[in-house]
Amino acid sequence: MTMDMQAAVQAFLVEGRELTQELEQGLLRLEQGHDPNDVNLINAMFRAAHTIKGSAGIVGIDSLTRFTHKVETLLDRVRSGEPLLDGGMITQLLRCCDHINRLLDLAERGDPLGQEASGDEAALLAGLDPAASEQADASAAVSTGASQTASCRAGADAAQGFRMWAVFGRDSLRDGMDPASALIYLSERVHIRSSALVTPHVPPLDQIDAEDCWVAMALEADSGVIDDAREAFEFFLDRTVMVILPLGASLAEVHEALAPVRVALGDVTPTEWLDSGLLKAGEWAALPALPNAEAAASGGGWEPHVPALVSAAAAATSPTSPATTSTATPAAPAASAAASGASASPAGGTARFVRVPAERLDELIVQVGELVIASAGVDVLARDTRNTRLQEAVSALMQLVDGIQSGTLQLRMVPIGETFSRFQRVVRDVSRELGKSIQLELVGGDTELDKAMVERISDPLMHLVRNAMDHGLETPEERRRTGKPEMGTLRLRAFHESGSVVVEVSDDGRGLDRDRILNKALQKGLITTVEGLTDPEVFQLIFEPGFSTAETITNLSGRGVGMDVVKKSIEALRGAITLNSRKGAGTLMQMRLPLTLAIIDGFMVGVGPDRFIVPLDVVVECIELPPDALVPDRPMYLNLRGEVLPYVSLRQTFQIEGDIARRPSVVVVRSGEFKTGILVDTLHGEIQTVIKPMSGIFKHMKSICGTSILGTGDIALILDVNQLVQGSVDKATRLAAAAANLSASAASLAATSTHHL
Amino acid sequence: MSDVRHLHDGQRHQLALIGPLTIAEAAETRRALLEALRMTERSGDVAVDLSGVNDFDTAGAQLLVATSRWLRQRGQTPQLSAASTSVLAVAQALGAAAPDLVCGFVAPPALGGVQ
Repeated sequence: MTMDMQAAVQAFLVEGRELTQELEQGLLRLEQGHDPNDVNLINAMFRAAHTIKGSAGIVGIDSLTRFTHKVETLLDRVRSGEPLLDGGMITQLLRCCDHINRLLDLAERGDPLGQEASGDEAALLAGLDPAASEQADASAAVSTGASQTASCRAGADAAQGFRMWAVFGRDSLRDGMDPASALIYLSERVHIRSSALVTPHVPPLDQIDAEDCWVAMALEADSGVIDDAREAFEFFLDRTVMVILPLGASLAEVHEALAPVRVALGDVTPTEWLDSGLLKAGEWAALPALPNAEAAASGGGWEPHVPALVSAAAAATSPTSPATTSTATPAAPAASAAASGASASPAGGTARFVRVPAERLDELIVQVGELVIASAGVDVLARDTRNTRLQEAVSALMQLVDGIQSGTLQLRMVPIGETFSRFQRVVRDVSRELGKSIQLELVGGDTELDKAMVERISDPLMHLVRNAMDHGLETPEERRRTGKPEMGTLRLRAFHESGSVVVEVSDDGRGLDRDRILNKALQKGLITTVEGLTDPEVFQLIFEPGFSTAETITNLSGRGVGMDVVKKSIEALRGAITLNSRKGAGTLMQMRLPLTLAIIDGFMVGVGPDRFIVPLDVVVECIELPPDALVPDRPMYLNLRGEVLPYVSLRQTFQIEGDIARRPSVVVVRSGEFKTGILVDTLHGEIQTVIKPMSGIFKHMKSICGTSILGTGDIALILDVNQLVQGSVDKATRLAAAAANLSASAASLAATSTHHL
Repeated sequence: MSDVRHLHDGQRHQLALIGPLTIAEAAETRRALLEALRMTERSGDVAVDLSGVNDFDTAGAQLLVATSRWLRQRGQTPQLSAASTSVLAVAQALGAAAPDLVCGFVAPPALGGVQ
């Protein structure tokens, strides 16, 4: 397989998954009561299946072509108005979507035949069948009953064969479409009696652009229907002049229908077609009086609705094509609508989006990161020169670099909605499995965040959703008893807040049971007493390793791996998770995440000669350390406008030699819901910087999540504030602080400590 | 791209294409073909051996038509001496049982070298 082919396969795998999802979304919408007669929706679903099949054929994933064909056939019948989509069939089709995804996975792992999954396939297809055979009778009845209007369909069923002529668009080959493969594909479905290429326009070797397409083709099949041909060549429709007629079309009809082909070929006689019998001289040659005479002669015998499809695109070679299209035999309305829809949607899509491999973006972002570092270095040097003109030039440069950086990062931002909508299916399946009735609400799907982030939160998110459905939401009976509507609501919401993204999972279920959590925690030895624990503290216990309150272990959750893993993976993304719950009213879980993993807006501080960076979004304010707060042997806290503020000393934490600066500062940071101070020697101000990951040997350094290279070439350590604060300011400190200050302002302090702990 | 090999045994040119010959390689192969053929004498027939072409499509076929057309302009007659199964499959699809016609090549009396 050539490199290009591999790239094509990769692109298809991505596209295939997207299309499968589109199909799945359509099915789910139907199931949720969307109008089953919505032609647009059904067409979109059909096209999704059809495109999967077509593209799979092009890149040679045979298993998928074969399987999706069956799905497509069914959808095609739905499209032509058969009432096939009942609940059972939708479930069956959803399973087929799963199977398609599986075949895609297998193809990715190098099994284009899908042998590993072939066992399930038969059962799935059988599931599509019973209804199919039932309906076949019904449709036969319909077509005999309404013979006039259904003649197109009935004619198609007769499978009487067809003739086709096509002059391919100049870009067909370049766009990856190969007439030969389309023909080979078609020949697997219908019997092609004869085919011939005409090549009068192919320039000689020294003049040809080998990627242009100069060929035209004709074929005659004595089985199959026009739809088969249209389908095999669907992807060519855009720029290709194509005429397909049934075998029985009269001389005059053929002559008339071939007008656009004549124009496209520039009236060069296609001798190869004539020689091979694919075209009769009379059909091609323009005998002036022929059409009228023929029409008059055939009189009433001329079928008014011959299913012909003439697709003449606005190719430069056929300026008269609009006129000829309109005079052409009217095509079946559904067919032409499908054709135009199919060609319109990709065209619209390519105009607005460019598909770029993720690695290329990553590379670009790394490069831009280096650019930022290098330009910071230039900036430092420029400042040293005291050359104002140079400094001005550099500062203009820095601004541009800044713009490039944010623009580049923007490239990788994707809306979270796609991830959200995947949960439609999960919620549907799980609620059935659990016998619960759950509706999913999605809010803020257009909130954007880094693609890498989206990928990495999907697992934790899945866990939270399943948890909410399993533990949070009650059964319909239980809900009725407590006076709630039977239908439970699960809500996914995303929004931006002060430089980070917040993703919420909330439900209106039973809420967390404080007593049960406490019992369990006692049992597991996570706590020794239930006294004095606030609700948030109790709820925080469920993030402890090995904690699970579910009394029955279900398929979904309750295996004791869970919330602690969720918490860890969120923290690994420099995010935080918090939880809020009211008994009987529901639970809200909030994940707060940075917008991107690659770059950090930081605040640089110094201790002695060392530099540290605090993520800017957690910095609340900076204050000078009050002289009275500096008592080395006491628990470290200070009074921030009447609030108890514990703080950590970076000098102590990292055991940096040297004396405390004369006027040390405290950076007040927010970690989770409470504030903490970080004691430093000097403040250096804001800095935007690229995060370099730490190598393995520093992994044990919990308080540091990365490094950064400064303009001067020095290294700054990026602080992981959550870890730093947790490690240094433990609860004992806080309680001691609270106790010590109790006398000062008892009432307000009690309130703050409850709130902040 | 296809590897283009050219041999002249004093009477006849022999041109062998080896490797894939599809839209992906079309532009490069065209250059290679031109280069190889420009160096040849403008006389004598050219026997084209396609038995080494392991991947073939319409773009490949079209390129062969263009080659044939150019050779004929110079007064040379191209002949197909052998073709691989991939070439034959595509040729057959495009022109039923007439691969010589499709590719613009005059077939030798018997396709002895067909693999």
